[in-house]
Amino acid sequence: MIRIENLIKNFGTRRILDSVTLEVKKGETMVIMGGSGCGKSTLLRHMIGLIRPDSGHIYIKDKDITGMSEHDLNEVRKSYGMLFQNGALLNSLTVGQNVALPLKEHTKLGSEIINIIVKMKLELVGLTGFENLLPSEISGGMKKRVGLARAIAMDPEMVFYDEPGAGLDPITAASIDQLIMDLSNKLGITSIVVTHEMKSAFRIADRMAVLYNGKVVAVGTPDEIRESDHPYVSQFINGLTDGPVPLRRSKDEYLKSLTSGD
Amino acid sequence: MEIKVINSNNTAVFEITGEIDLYNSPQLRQQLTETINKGLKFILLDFSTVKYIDSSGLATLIEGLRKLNKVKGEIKLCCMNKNIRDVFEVSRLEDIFAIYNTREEALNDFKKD
Repeated sequence: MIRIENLIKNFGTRRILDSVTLEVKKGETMVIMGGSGCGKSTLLRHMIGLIRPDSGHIYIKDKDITGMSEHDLNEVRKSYGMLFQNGALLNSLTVGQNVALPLKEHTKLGSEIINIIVKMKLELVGLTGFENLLPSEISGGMKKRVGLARAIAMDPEMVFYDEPGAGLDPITAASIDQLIMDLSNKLGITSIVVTHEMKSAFRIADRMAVLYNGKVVAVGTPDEIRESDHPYVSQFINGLTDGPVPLRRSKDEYLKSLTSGD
Repeated sequence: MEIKVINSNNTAVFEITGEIDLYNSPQLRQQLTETINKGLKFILLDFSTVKYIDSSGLATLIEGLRKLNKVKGEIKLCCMNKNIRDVFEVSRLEDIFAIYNTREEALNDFKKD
């Protein structure tokens, strides 16, 4: 479904993605994990065509999107949905209007048909009857669910999730996880989830990829990742302060950075 | 998608072939509307050769059901493969549509006066 080959991206002199190679199979839930600044969100933005790489390729359904025109990219975008970190709802539109937005933008469906689809999608995320409320009138977890209803409005083959549990209490985060699993199991949707939340990652993943310093250092099933002997993977999944990622830079390095003006 | 409508004994049988998706469900909607506007109150959709139906297809059927309910008509569905049936199940629509295994069973079950 998605194939990433030797993806390299630099921001200035800093290498953010370093020869990333990864494959996501049809129907699976692939969780991309890693600490803050490891490049996982940048990788996600490449996969949805928001950022172009310096080199390397991303194939979505065998089409290389890295060199694609914006017009062709928009066609590919119809095959996937995206759940942004904060839901990214338009505050001036009702819940129902937010879910209807992609259908109004990208299809020629009549408004009665769109209204029925909106009701069906809100039912799938457990929000039947909420269509006339404004985003300001619902909770953070509900906003995420509305964002998810909007992401699946066009019946996409793939859904990308950026930190789906961020900012939610554990119960609400678990309910979002359950929805991701339901969509995958019942509708066969391929899911790509970027997260640093361990519980959630191990709950929903068919396979996981761990990113460290812009490189994929481990790929495998949750059990394989748990048993990984890579020092960073072990440090990351166990939340240890001692490991390849130092809590603090060395004193010399710190003083040098202050005095050199870098 | 291709739709062939066969009218017999006051019932319209829709033989649909292919995929019912965002791009062609308006065609199904138009055929259903024309049939209902002609005064036919009993519609059977034969899914034998339907490979895929998306939410817009389901919504089109729901709209047809609403219209026929208003005139005390009926819409029935038959001959779905497992994938199509799963879509109805996941969307929790199995209970609002009468779904039959064979065309004969469905035709015999219309409650005509």
